[in-house]
Amino acid sequence: MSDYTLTDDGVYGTQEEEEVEEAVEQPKQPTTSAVSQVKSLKAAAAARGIGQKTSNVVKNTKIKVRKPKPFEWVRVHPDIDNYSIVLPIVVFGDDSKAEDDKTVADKPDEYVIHPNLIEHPELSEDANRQKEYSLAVTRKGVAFIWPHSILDKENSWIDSEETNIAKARQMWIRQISDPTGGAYNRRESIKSLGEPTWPTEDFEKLLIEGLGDKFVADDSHPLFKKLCGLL
Amino acid sequence: MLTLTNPVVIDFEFKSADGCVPVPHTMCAKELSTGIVHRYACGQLEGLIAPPFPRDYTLVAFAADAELGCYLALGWPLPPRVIDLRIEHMMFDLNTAIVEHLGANLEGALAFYGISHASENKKEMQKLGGRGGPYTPEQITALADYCAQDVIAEEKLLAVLMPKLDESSLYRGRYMNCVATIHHRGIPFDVPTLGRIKSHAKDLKLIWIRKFDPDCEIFNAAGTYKVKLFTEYLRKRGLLDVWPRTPKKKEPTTNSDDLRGMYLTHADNKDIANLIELFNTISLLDNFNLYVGLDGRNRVKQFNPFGSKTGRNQQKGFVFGKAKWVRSLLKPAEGHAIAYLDWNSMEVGVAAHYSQDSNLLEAYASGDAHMFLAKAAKAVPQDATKDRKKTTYPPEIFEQHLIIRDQYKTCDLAAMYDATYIALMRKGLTREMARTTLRHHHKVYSRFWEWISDRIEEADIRGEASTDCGWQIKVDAEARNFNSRSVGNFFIQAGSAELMRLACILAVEQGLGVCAIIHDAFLLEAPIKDMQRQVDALCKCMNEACNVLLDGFLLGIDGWQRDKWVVYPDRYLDERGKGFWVEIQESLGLLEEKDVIPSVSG
Repeated sequence: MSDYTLTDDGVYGTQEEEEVEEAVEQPKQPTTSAVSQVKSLKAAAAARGIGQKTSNVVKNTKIKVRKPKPFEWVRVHPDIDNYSIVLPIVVFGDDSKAEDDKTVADKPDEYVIHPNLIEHPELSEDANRQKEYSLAVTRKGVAFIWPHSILDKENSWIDSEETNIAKARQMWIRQISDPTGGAYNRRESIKSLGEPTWPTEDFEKLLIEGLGDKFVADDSHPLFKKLCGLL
Repeated sequence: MLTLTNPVVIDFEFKSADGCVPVPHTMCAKELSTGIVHRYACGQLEGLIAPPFPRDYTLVAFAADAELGCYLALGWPLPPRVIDLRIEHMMFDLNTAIVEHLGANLEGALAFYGISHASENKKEMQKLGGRGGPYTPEQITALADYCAQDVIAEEKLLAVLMPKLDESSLYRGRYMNCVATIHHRGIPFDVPTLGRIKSHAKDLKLIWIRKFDPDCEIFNAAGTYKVKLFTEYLRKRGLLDVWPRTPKKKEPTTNSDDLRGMYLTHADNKDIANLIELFNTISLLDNFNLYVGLDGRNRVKQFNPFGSKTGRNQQKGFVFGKAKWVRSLLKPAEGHAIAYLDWNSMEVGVAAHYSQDSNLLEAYASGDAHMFLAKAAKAVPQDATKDRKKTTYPPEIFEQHLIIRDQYKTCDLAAMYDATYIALMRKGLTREMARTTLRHHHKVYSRFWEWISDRIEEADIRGEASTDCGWQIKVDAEARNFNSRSVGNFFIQAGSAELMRLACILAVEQGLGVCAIIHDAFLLEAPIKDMQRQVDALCKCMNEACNVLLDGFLLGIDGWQRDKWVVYPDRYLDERGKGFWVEIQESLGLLEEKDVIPSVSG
């Protein structure tokens, strides 16, 4: 087969015609049946774990501090003393929106203060709120730290979440926000989903990893400069 | 990584007109293995009976259905393998939020990968190529050069997409051969009647307005819709509070999709039923975008295969996307018959098999999953049925059963998308009905709900949701636009789309006369004497697709029965549009006899 370029008279020559005849002698059709092709794709998908009824996929990434997603079945570690902690926080930004209305952009900067710094004079006025951090795990084995605001007055979002966390210490639940009702609903598993697999790492280590630069362990943290208006 | 056998990047320029098959006049192809370039300018393709490269090759193109359409127009054998760069780009890149603004064209795809590609006067050249000849020698050269430029661009795109491609890319390409074949075949159509309706569309519109709105309470004397008048109309009749609103201005809507749910909750209110019929027909007569080629066959404006995130086609200007009465324009040619073969409650069946929910499997096996749910909720007696011939209840009670069944049907279908009760209310159910039906769905089909949450969770962990055949979407639960319902919906819809795809490939590759793919159905056309064989063969293909993809779980098929075929000289008649079709014909007759002088103010 030769390279073909347009001739001045715009007509292709005999040579190309002969080559075409040779090329179309036996038009090649798909040799693999569509059924075999799909069976092969299906086998490849199964090998990757796609579409299987159960999965052992575990995400080995950095632990996050977050709320459970509405589709996640979760458990909270039942050992409150060793796997939950209440810590003071400092919030920068507008925190006035209802819990469920917040988008990522709306989220104020939130710093978690080490218990040793609670008495620090620079923090006395700003560290006036508290959150409880609890170790939680999804049914797929993804560990995360579930933050929960603590308030000394009634709030339907916070109160319903507190109930859900307590329930999740005993059984698998899904937490689903209900903007109309202004609270978190809960779905409890009907059948046993088995016992969760907990991380082996120390909770403090996981918490520090999860909070990252939002964890204020000493007064060299940039938060202090922020509080003084230097940042 | 995929290895392509003798990849040939190819691009055609062709004359195009809505409803017509393309008329190719210019082609450029590059054999990537050898570097050989084939350039055929205007006039040189005529007489060429096959592509000018070795027979065992892989066609690579952007929007390959257009190139394959040119193959068919030229009478060339379809390629043994196809890679459609547009489909692959759409799947890998467009389904992620960040690049949606780039669009699904070649330039957008190149820009996504940061590839610079100079293409001067692109729009001008597209227009020139699309209009067809005659061309001056300068234009012929310019078109050939432009065609060659696109081949270079596609070669660049292939290079960056190549690491992502796998065997499933070739399977999608295989489907593109079928899409091109179906589009090329077209749908048999009653062109004379279409012409009559189109030529009288304006008058028909006025007649319908006068018929339904004789006192100009919705449309003014000139026949123009007035939202203020309509608002007052609804207020007077106590309907203002229940009427769906437009999303932005919150005005009463006339959009047919938004009004569909109103049928269910107000089936006994003839005012509402008439209004909905009126708006649907007016909308159609205003914009009669049905296209017919010179061969008298109806073709979609755009087939848009894999156009939705779930991999379903998103056909534009499709006769099956219009008001039901329009389907009566489908008419087999002399000596031919057509049949509409559809899968019964496809999504319910697919969901039942995937989730292995015993109640859902039982519901599907019952033959009427929606009535099954209504019975499980004790909303209708255990012996209620949708079959008028089989019911033992008086007509008024039977009708009530049908209304309740329809409410559960709405819930059944919406629930597959994990719809909230608010979403069900938008579809026309009252708050109480929405809450009740959803609660029952969760209770009766608890295993199905566990399965859905399982799949969503897994998709989040993997960062993707994928079908067995490799169609996939990216999933990122941290993204702002993440919607778990959309992910949950993917598995059932995309799974159903794979069934359609495989059945379609099996049918088209054995030469069956598939002339349209509808959501869960195929339109088959064949000579009357061959119809039985083709219907049997298509059923076999549909069953085979279930065998392979649903592990032998066969979905029910309807429309294969001989009494459901449409045989020449009959036309297709959808029961739901029958009344309207008759009325349109009557109005047309009157107009043509000039017995009616259309005037709203009359």
